[in-house]
Amino acid sequence: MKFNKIYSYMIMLLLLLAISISFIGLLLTIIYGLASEYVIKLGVLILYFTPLASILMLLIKAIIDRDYKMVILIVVILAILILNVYYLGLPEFS
Amino acid sequence: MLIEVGVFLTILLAAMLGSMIGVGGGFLIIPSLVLLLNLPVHKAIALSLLSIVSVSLSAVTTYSLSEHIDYKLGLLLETTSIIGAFSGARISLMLESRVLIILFSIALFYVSYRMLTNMRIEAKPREIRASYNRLAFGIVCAYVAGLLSGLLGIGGGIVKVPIMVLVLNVPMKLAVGTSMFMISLTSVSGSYVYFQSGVIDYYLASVAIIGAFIGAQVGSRLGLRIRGVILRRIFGFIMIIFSIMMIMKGLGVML
Repeated sequence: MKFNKIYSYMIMLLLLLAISISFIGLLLTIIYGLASEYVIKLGVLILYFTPLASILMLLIKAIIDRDYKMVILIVVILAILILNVYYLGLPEFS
Repeated sequence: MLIEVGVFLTILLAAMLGSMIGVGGGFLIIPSLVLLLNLPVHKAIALSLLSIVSVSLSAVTTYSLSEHIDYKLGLLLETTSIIGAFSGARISLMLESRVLIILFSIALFYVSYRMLTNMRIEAKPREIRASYNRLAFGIVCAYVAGLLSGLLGIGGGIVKVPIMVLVLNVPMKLAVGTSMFMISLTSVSGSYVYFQSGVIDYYLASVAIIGAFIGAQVGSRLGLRIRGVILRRIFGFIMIIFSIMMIMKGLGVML
């Protein structure tokens, strides 16, 4: 299977997962109140993780193809993201 | 509960209309939330960025299948665009709502003018490869695009696509696909700053991402059946009205 197919299916899968979990969380919150807020948080966090997952997939492809320019670019982007997340702090998940 | 329903319907409509003409919808989401639902502008920006993450990721799956994404170029430009988004979002949080509304109105007015006059961007055919100078200029422009995205809560495609087409001589379709791939990374970076600063709650966020996803899916299918030129004109007109109303709100003329 071609990379582009796997890549787009994976992103769509994560996106659908994020939206379904958010929707379930929303329904639970409407029914039971704030008790299920953590389910919504999980959905939103999966959405945040999806672009990161897309970069990681590109990194794996670049390593397999021995495309070192691409590897360097992805490592730089990951470093910028990690530094900023470290500066801002990880999301509270309770 | 009423505000959640309002946010859902507003974002659903804005994402649907945006997808019909191939944009993220940030320029429609923010004025709708600020003017119709009276949400604070920072909250509207944060929700808009989250919705754009959902819309752009949905578009990336389509562009990836049709091989219209230049990943290497996208990642290269994203190195500065992400930094721009982080800094833009932090600047935005320091600015007063009124200043932000006026800044947004100016940007909105420019975009609506472009839509109404139907300005087309085309690459010069004689130049085949972009030189290093042009690439460096493109990287600097990508920072500006990221800054605007984080500052105003837009995707930034309005800057990214012209940079790729006019400066880097990338074909239009490839530029749009690559821009969507970049927007998914830029908007998630800007959105995270707002999220961590506690501007929005998870409840509204989930409503926004669901609305944006459904809107984008419906809009992209409906868009194929309606004439693009007419749609862009209607859009431009609505956005002109929005920009005038936003300026008035920013100046304190209208509540």
